[in-house]
Amino acid sequence: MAYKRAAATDALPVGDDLTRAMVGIGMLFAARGIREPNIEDTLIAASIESLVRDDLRVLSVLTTWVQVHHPWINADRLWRGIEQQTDQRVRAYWSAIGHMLAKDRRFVRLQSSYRGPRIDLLRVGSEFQLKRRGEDARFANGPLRVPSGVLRDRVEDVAEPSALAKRHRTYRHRVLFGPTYRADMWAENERDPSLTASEIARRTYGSFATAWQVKKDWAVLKGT
Amino acid sequence: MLKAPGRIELLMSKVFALCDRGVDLQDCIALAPTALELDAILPWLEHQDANPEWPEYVRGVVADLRRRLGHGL
Repeated sequence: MAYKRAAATDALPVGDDLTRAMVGIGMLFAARGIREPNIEDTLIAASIESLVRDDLRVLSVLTTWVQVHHPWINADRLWRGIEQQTDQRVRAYWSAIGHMLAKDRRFVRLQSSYRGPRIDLLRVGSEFQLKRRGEDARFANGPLRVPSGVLRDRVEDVAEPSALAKRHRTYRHRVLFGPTYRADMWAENERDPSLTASEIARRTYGSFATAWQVKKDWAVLKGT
Repeated sequence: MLKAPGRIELLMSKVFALCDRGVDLQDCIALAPTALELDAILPWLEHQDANPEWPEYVRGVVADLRRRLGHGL
């Protein structure tokens, strides 16, 4: 059967699994992290937890994480994952991130993930908080209205890039090669060289052709 | 003498934080206050800010919390 490139996972992590995945990508919650979780799956799952289940502490840390680590996010993979989401609050958040990170042109495409009227982050009392505190400047140009001070922005809440690169193989490869599918595939192959090209492609949401090339290049270097 | 907050004081601080900062919803749900407990702390909450719109705002936040907790359904 022909290989079909995957766009989204069958099951994003939730509950304690999500907490451990978030710790695994350097969000400093008080839990034990899992090793090297998928970065974009974790980001999307965290946004669902935040926007659908109103866990604004998670949203605070997620937003800080994105600000600190966005140079090493695979923007194409993130966009493809968000395109699978139907919740308008989740889509509005990522559209807002697209506006926030507009200087990094890779993220501009995220802006189109939501096109409706502005949405209030707080389900009750948003007008009161906006009058009282003003708007969070980070979200001022996007479709999400966020009162200032609701989302804490503390860089200490996330691991530094150098610390995350030490413990997350895929992240480290993205720092080395750039945030591409090829970097993810190289990391996956390094983790387990017995994986087939199609399995590597499936795990990284990439194309079979790129995975096949990674396997070929790996074989060239193996003997050097 | 060392004193520790009881359940009602803990509820007051958490629901006040929910009203003030908007980020303590999960803690408030986890504490699972009863309808009577929320009735008991509401007058105190309404007096914790001098903004004239504060009491109405607090009532809205507590009503939302009641809805999420399934009170009155």
